[in-house]
Amino acid sequence: MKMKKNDSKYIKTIDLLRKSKPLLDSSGDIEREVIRRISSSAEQVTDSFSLLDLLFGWTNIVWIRRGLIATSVMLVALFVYQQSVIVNQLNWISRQIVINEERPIRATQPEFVRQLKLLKITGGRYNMMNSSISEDQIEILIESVDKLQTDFDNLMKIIQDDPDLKELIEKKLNEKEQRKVKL
Amino acid sequence: MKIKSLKFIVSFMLVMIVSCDEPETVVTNIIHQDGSITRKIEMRKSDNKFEITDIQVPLDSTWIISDSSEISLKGDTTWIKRAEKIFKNADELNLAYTSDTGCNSYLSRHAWFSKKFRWFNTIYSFSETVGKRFRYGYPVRDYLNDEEQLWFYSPYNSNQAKLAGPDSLKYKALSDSVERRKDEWLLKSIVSEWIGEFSEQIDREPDAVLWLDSLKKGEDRIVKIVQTNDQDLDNLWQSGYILKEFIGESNALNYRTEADSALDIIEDRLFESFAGYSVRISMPGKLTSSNGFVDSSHILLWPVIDEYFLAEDYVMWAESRVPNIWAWIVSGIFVLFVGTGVLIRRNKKG
Repeated sequence: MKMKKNDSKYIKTIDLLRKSKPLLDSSGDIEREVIRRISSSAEQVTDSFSLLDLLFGWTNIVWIRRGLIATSVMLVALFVYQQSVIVNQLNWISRQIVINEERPIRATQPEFVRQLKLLKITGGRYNMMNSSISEDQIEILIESVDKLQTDFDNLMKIIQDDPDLKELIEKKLNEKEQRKVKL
Repeated sequence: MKIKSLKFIVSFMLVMIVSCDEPETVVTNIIHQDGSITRKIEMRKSDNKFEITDIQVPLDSTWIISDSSEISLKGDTTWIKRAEKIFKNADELNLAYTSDTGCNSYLSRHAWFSKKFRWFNTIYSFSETVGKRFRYGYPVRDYLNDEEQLWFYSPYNSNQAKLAGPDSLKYKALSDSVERRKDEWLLKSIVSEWIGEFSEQIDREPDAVLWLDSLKKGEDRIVKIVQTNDQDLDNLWQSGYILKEFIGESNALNYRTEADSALDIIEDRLFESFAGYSVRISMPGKLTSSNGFVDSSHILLWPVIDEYFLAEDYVMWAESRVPNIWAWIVSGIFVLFVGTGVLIRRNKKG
């Protein structure tokens, strides 16, 4: 009973296929068409596979894959480290004192050095405690002596380096000395 | 005798012709990525007499120099001399320091530049150092805490502004404390320097019996004598009391000449005239660290004062970074490429 039912279904399907277009003349044509379509589809698959393979073929080679992943991780870590260090440094810099003056060079010498200088200038005869001279005046005095000393050193250097000048000055000094004796 | 009279006459002449004090000078170093340095000097003075020997930093005829003047509201005229020169590198600047004839030429000063490639960034470092004047002195950090050191190294005007500001009492106490400790440090350093020099003088003797280590033990004794007799030091020294207390009577007699000679050396070293100035540094890229102060033009600034380099080198340093944009792009593409490859492989497997 079941067999009969299947047979009738098969006959109906065959009839339907025979009626449907396009009609092919021979079984050879069908074969060629099927082969053409299959090979065209296979070609497409092969093309897309080779492009990916070219770009990411290295993922199949273990040592290259691991090496590149390690390099990437190191680059990211280096970037994070460097940027975090810089952010910390910038935060520190932003907390630094901002000065409104561009020429903050006025500075006084330490009191002790000033006292020593005064002691030296006056040959130890000056007593700071019993002084009636103001600090500003002392400051001016010390600055003048400093200046004088520098200018003196420079002038002596110039004189020492120039034999003619040295001779001339010595001659003048001798003349002065002789005049003193005469007087 | 002749030398003495020559010195006297020249000194007298100089008293007559002595000009006003040195100019108020600001030195600005603009550091470029290739290591070259544009150095600008601005000198201000109440008169128009600018002499090379008065100037605190190297300056000669090879600089581009311009003059101008400013008149204040009170009618005071300030003469301004500006000079500019490009140095190829720090070495060329150091050469200028060695051939300097200005008033601070006796100082040992040098500049240093470095450029380090660090893939994502290039780090630039620049420093200017003033060499210490004392060989046996103590570092100031041994005497001042962090807060006091900050006060000590801060520019004078900045400290004055704080003293006149709302927290003046706090800053006054800090200032007094710094002054007290600074005097202590200075005295200790001077005594230590004298001991060092004295020891060197003695070492030259063939039958020397005193050594630096043993002399150093008496350092505190001298400091105490100086502190308690600061108004009568000269007499105490002349009478030989200080030396006797330090090394005993017989040694004091034997080594009196060496002790005097060491004192002369220290005096000369201590009293060498120094003219203060300011140093400003502008670094390439973003400033990342420095030991300077930031001024109103966002440029680093350091005052250069003699006590800063008395017993230790005074280093003014700055570090900055310039991002290497190309390295960022290359790294980004590389990481993206590797990430995509790994994802594709995972999808294929899945």
